Amino acid sequence: MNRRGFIYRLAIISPLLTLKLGCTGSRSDWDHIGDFVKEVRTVILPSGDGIDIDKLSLEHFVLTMLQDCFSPDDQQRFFKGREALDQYCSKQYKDSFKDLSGEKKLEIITKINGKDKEMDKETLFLFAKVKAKIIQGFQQSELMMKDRKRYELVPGRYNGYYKIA
Amino acid sequence: MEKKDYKYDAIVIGSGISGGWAAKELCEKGLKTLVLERGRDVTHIKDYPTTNKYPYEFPHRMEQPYAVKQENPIASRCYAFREDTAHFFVKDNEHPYIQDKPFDWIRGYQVGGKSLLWARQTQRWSDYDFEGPERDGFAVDWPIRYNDIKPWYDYVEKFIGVSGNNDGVATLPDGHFQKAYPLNIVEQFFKDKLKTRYNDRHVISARCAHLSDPSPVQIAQGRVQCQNRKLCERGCPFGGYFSSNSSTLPAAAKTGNLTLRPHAVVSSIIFDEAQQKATGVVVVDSETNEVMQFEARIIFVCASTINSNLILLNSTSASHPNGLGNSSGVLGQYLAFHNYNASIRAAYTGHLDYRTDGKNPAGGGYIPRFRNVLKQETSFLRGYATTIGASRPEAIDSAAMGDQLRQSLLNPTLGDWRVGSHMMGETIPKISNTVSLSTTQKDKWGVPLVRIAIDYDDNDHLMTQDYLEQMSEMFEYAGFKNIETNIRNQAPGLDIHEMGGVRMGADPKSSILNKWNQMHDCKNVFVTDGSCMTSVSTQNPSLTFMALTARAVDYAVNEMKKMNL
Repeated sequence: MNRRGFIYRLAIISPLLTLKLGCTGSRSDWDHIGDFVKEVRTVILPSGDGIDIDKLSLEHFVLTMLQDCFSPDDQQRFFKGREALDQYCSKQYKDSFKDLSGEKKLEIITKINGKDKEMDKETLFLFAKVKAKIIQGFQQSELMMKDRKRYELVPGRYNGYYKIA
Repeated sequence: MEKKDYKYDAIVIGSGISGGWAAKELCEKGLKTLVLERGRDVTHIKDYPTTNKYPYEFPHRMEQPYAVKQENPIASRCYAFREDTAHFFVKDNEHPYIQDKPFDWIRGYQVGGKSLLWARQTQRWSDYDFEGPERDGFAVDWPIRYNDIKPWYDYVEKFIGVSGNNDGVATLPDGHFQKAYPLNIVEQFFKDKLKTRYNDRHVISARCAHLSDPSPVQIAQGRVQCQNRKLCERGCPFGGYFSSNSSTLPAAAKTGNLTLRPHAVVSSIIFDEAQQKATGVVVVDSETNEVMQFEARIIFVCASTINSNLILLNSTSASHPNGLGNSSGVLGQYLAFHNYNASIRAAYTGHLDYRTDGKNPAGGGYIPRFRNVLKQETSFLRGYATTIGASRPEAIDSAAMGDQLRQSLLNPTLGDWRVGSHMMGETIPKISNTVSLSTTQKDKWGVPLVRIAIDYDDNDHLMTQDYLEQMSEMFEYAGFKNIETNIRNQAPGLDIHEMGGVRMGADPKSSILNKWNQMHDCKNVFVTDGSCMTSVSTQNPSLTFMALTARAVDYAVNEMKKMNL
């Protein structure tokens, strides 16, 4: 099987399947989370250093994990956190998070990343999970693990005294 | 029940680490042998579907989804139950059992059993272990000593391939080893440091059933050197570690004497009153529900500790109303396990000009038991062995974002060394630690559900505290920082070292099996898996199961030749 095609299908199909099979929240709730994941990913892990991160489909992986690997209670916290973010934006900027300018989104995500006390604790919870999964998705991407050789399927060796140059 | 004319020289119930050895030895000695496995077939290499996958090829990067964890709370507590290995684990709702006390029963129902999943640690027992019950007044005296089993440890080690050093430690006899996986720089530092203060605490390279330097014996099995992948629980296409699938079952098949029948749930052993011996087994085909009988001159019971107890308890007859071979009444009693209930970890800021490269399949170091070895010296009986391992994980600036985060991920730094250990304590077999059969509930094949009542006791709690105190002292002496101790509060069973219930002993009034793993009361039935164990020592038990099995087959076949069986 074509590996990239396989991964792509897994990434696309898995969240949809999960929605059917019982994760909590409505389509609308998850659409909001999905949009948030995209915005956060773009800001906290932008392309650069010769890597087009948009091509890694990290958002699909993050959404799959949020939908499949967290408890219903945690997922409710995600929705509350996303809602609280809109409330904050509405209060501060008279607009929802989604409709803010890129500059303002950056400002807010920077605040959340800095654990600003103004931010709702559920928003911080949502962000922490999203960020952790973005990092995991990047570190465990085919690009990093295989192309950049950060992971060896067959190391074939062990050296317990590897001197750092 | 349909009775068919299925006759063999020998029947082996179970195809795991003990059953595989029974099959190999019986077949190689010329006996037409039927191996009955309740699970599906797993053929070496062909049936390892995930073995060559990268983490990113799993939708959840090998993590189990929440729904899977909810459906399988017991299996999910096992460290090895992951997205890439789940196909080798019994799911909780597939094979229910009754927990009279909390017990995490981790099972692998397939050809090869848990030999595909085991931790591969292989240590011999010493006479400090075999003499333990008699010296300390628990269970019954083992009917064997180290010299009885030593030739069979040699025999098994030469075939399976074990890496390790001959360390000269009395509590852990030396053996036939391939080159050890060396300690890393911090593990060696800890070893050297302990030497300056203690004369009884030895850090050695963990001994494991991995091929570090395969001999012609293993090459002839089609196995090659371990490739340090540490993906063992997916099944190893290199045969780099020992499993029934890669080693003993192919050897048995090569003789032409093996018949392997998967999907065969053994419900009981048939006892013939006229002949006063077992004549065969009753089997339910797990796919068709067809009930069949198979006959043989001898039967080896290797169904795994609790299932072997179950089969024997369910094998009632006029002569054996309380289960086969149970005139003593101790069948299903005196089970024990290993106390894995505590761990410790710390940081080490020395040797920061070094790291490790590649992976150590042995896992690091091992400290053999040092408590109460020569005499009783603590408020608790027996003692514990411990693992010891050091690693140097990469660190990233997880607080960063934007270009700074990306660059941190592309250029991780090395953190301090992390050092960790967990205990492996000997528990005392007690009459209150039991398995029994439900009188009201049966599984879908009509076999009574097993009830399990096994628990920790005060001895285990005292031992756990001592482990934490002693390891903390040793860690502090070594200069390790930020020491964190942890009591896991895990249920028995999660150690996956449950043993006993069909114990060996010299006296038929207090044991089920004699010194040859032969039933006192039914001479053509042998039990050689974990259920035969009189006590549990601190060592990982699989090597001893294998050695006892090979030894028992040798005895059984000699007895057959003498027409005693």
